Amino acid sequence: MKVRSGELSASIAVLALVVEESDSVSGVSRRLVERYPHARFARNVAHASLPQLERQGLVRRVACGRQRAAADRYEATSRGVRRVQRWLQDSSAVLPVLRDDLRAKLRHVQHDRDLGIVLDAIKAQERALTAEFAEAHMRVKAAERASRNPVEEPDLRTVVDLALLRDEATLWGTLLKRRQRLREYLEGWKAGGGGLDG
Amino acid sequence: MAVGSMDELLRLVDVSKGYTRGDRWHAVLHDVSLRVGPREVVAVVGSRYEGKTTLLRIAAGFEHPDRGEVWVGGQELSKASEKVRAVVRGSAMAWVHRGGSAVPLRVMDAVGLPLATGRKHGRREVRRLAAAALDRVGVPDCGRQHWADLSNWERVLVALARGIVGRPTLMLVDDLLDGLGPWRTQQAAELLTSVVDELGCGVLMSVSDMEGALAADRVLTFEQGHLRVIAGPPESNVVDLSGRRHEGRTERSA
Repeated sequence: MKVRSGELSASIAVLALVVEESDSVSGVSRRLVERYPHARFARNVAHASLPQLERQGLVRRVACGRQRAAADRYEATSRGVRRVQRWLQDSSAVLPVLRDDLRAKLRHVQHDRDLGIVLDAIKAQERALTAEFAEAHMRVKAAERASRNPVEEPDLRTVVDLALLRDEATLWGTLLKRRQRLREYLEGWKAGGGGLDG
Repeated sequence: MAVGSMDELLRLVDVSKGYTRGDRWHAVLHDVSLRVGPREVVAVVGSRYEGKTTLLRIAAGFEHPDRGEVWVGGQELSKASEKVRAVVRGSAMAWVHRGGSAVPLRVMDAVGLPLATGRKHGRREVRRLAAAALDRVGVPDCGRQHWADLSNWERVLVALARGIVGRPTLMLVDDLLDGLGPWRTQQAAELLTSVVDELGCGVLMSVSDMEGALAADRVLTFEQGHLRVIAGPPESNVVDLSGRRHEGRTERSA
């Protein structure tokens, strides 16, 4: 199982979910989307990965769906559990892949008209990021309300989940501000008489 | 809901403000409108020089807007005399920031200062209330220290104690949560939220980073001098990215 630098591979994500809980193919598919809503894994990734993980001896099929492969149920083997433990202990010192479409487009801008088009694209992404930040903010607030318990301290899972939600909201919000600043800088330069067409 | 009604602790209506630098005019705020209700925390997130503190200073009546209205608890501050504004500030508002006092006071006296200037309380009562405020925010032992002796985190807590000592209805919080790191930011945010619930007050705060903004119920940001909501319930009269005005849930009426 080869992991691209800094990126979560679909197969390890699937395996980790099966280690966490024995599940059907469709169940793993659903949990994958719930757990990693922004990972954009292919829709059939659990269908494709689980038989492959079985061939590698990392999971075993414990029940067959009568007519649908989606109902096949898998559990992790001890080898699969060890594989996930190794993954958890692996160094994450590798940087995430930076393959940003808008930044790449800006590198190819040669004319004022192109710059205007890319600036519009940045605005569109700002709108999408605003919506994402708003959603994430809402999730943080809901989780904060749910975790408030005057009697018991929250458990580790609750604390980690809340920290991840806050991290995600901060990520979208920060990206939004970065996009906004980049656009305002370029718009300011254009308004100040700068131009690419000479 | 009427403009400046008691259900609105703070309302800004089409506020604009600019400054002259040399021979050039710099617009900072463009037709900014917002409202803060009881038990509501509203954050304005932005980098330096975007106008966050100017917005807060206008809300506090420290500065006049060039145009627009500022209402605090039913009182139109933008048209009031300095004397009236000082009374509103002293009775209803708290300005919360991490800066120390110009006079080298002990923490206990600095925290009690908002009460002492109002002359409604005797010296012993002021000290008792200051001690209670310090206790509430978790630094009961800081009272005898001077500002310079405090750690950065203690300054945040003492600033909050100074903010709540007068039981304000509106807190204007200037960059208090900035640069604390995620853990301390969260602790400060939880403390702020809990005192807001207790006092039933509203908060307008400025923050530079998104971690601090997560403490708020509603998050606003500047877009070339205009304010827009990026999280939380929609706000009326806030200009969105395309320049359109939202038709918010709060109505603008005379």
